[in-house]
Amino acid sequence: MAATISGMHYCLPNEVLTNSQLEVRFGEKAIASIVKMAGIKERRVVTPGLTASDLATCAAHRFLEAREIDPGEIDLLIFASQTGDYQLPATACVLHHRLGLAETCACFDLNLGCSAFPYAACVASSMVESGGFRKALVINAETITSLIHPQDRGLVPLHGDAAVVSLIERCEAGSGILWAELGTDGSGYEHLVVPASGARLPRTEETRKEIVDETGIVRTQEHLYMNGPAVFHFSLHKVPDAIKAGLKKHEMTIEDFDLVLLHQANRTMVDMIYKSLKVPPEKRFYFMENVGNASGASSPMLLAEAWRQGAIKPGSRTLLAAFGVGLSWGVLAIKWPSDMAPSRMELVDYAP
Amino acid sequence: MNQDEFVSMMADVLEVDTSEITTEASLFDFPVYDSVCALTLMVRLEDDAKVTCSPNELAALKTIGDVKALLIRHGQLDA
Repeated sequence: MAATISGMHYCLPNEVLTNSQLEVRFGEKAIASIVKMAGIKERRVVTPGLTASDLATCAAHRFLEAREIDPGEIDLLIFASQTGDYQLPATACVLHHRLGLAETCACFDLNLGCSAFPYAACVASSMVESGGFRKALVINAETITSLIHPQDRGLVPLHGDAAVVSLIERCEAGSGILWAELGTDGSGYEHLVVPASGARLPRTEETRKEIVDETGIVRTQEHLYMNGPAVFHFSLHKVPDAIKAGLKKHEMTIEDFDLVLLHQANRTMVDMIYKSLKVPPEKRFYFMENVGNASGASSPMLLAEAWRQGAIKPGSRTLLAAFGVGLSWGVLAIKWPSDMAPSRMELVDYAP
Repeated sequence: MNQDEFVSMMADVLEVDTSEITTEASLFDFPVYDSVCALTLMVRLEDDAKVTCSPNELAALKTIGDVKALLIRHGQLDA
């Protein structure tokens, strides 16, 4: 039995944060180099009070309505996010209620960031392939900007927020998710971290104090920290190696794929990985210029947008790699079924 | 990479005229040099000079002479 992604939809917050606004906040010179490197002109960001589960609910409602799917048919929901509503319960349980799913629907959270989509798709497709589940909703939703200090000029220009819904169902043999290669380098866990966000370092007055580093970047221990050089080095070396190893293991090459999609961390990094893999321009696809890097929602949003724009054809093959916090990575190979439907979703802006 | 190419790359990264690229100059004295510019330098070293610079090596670069020494160490700069 095979399983495939049979439909997708994504939702963006309405608030737009432009480079001009960042120039006012940080000064033109201070952000010129990061804007040039990232290739991002504007990002969609949540306003206070709007959560990842709100975006997820909007995306899921729209998707189920457009596809005329009774919520009672969904028998598996995986909410993949690092910005859930509560430490407990799982946000998937909250979504279960908000979406009106059946009591027989299995719901759980998957706590990963940038690499979450290949992981969640692999878990969901395996559960569908096992025969125990028929319609799985994978929701990748992040409001990562709520974890970034507003005066962190290294991270604010890069990030945006989003939620993406993917439906995973059974499909014709030989199609669907062909394979997934997942990996981890836990020795790099400190390179992308919110230090005071759990049991290891409880939040106190001390963790709320602002820290200004030698380059003027401001944050507290309750905000996201990124060791830029370490993450860059990981992305430029570990990620191409993991993709090459996955291809070799499954006796495939880049030539076997029509489209190669990479986590939209920043344009320079993505282009260097493309170059390292020798991916020709016609197999590349970008979606970050007007949305920013949406962490775990980034790679599925890229896939959903490629689908919306008609860049994914029935019977074609797509290779997708996502990587980041953990440090963690995942590579997904998909052969789209011959009867796949075109994306019919038009609205992407959040509406409560 | 020859000396002229090195000077040209550094001038481009630091957004200054090639005449300002001297061995003794501290990277931190260039107004544009910050954590993002350091990443740009990392990328250019990789792309232009085929030198993989580890995060620790990047952190150790304080002067243009240090960058030069790194390239020589990796056999990627003509003496």
